[in-house]
Amino acid sequence: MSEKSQMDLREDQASKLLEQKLEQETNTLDAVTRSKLSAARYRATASVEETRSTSRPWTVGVGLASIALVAMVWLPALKTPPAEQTATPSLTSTTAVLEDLIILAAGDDVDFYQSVDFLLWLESNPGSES
Amino acid sequence: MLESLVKPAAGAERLDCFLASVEKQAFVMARSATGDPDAALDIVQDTMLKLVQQYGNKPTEEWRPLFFRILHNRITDQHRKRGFVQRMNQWFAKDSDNELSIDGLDLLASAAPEPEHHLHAETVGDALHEAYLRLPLRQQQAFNLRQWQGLSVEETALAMSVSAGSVKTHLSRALKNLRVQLHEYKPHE
Repeated sequence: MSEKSQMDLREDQASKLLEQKLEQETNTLDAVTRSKLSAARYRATASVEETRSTSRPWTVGVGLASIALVAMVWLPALKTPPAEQTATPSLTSTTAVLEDLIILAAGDDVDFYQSVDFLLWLESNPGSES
Repeated sequence: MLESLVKPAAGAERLDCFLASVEKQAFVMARSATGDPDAALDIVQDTMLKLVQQYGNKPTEEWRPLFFRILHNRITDQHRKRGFVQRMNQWFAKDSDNELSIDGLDLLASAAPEPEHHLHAETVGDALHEAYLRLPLRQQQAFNLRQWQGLSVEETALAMSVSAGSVKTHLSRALKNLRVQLHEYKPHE
């Protein structure tokens, strides 16, 4: 057997012996270390469950809000009778819906805006005060 | 709909099975490299968290090389920190009449196996193991990933962030060191 192949054989032997030694070390870890490793694994897998459970309602919320927005913008336009359906009323209703959305998004007191609406209505209908 | 409800649980279960299959080896690798069981546990826990949170949605067959890549990076970071602390301790020790602090002594003692321990190796396996613990970090990691964990050269290169040629060089040097150890081994009398 050549010197090179003898060296290869020794390397192979050394490698296999060491692999066995490391496997033995792995399989004989003490109970405390094993339980700490299991706890670490549990924490890791639980963290992904938490991430999923917190991210899902958020995704659903965004989806529902998008659908509601589309419905609020387009439904008033569809409800308008064909005879009156011109570019101007459709735009007006869309603008009104957007204004409502801005007011709702601002989080201000809605009663205030309702009062303003009422005063404006009174102003445009002077006869209704009595 | 039903599939989306079932999939996450099944994914978490697969991740759990995968992590259970590598956690002990990962701990032994980290402990061998750092000489510190507590640091090794931290390293393994960080590795698990990162794999689950950042790569949990990757195909299952990619988990193994990714896991060992994260583990290798964590071990390397720990080595750098340890080296920095040791250098700082040595530097301060020079300034205080060459008195090494207790922390510094602890760190130096845990960083490498005691030389006299080598003399008491009872079996060839023990002697090889001690030679393995004294291998430079990259040689040790190349052996761990390529020989022990059976990753391909390419996967090992990816895990260690080096070229395939470097993996072969580190592994060849590691095996040469182990071969010399095997050749020179004399049982303790």
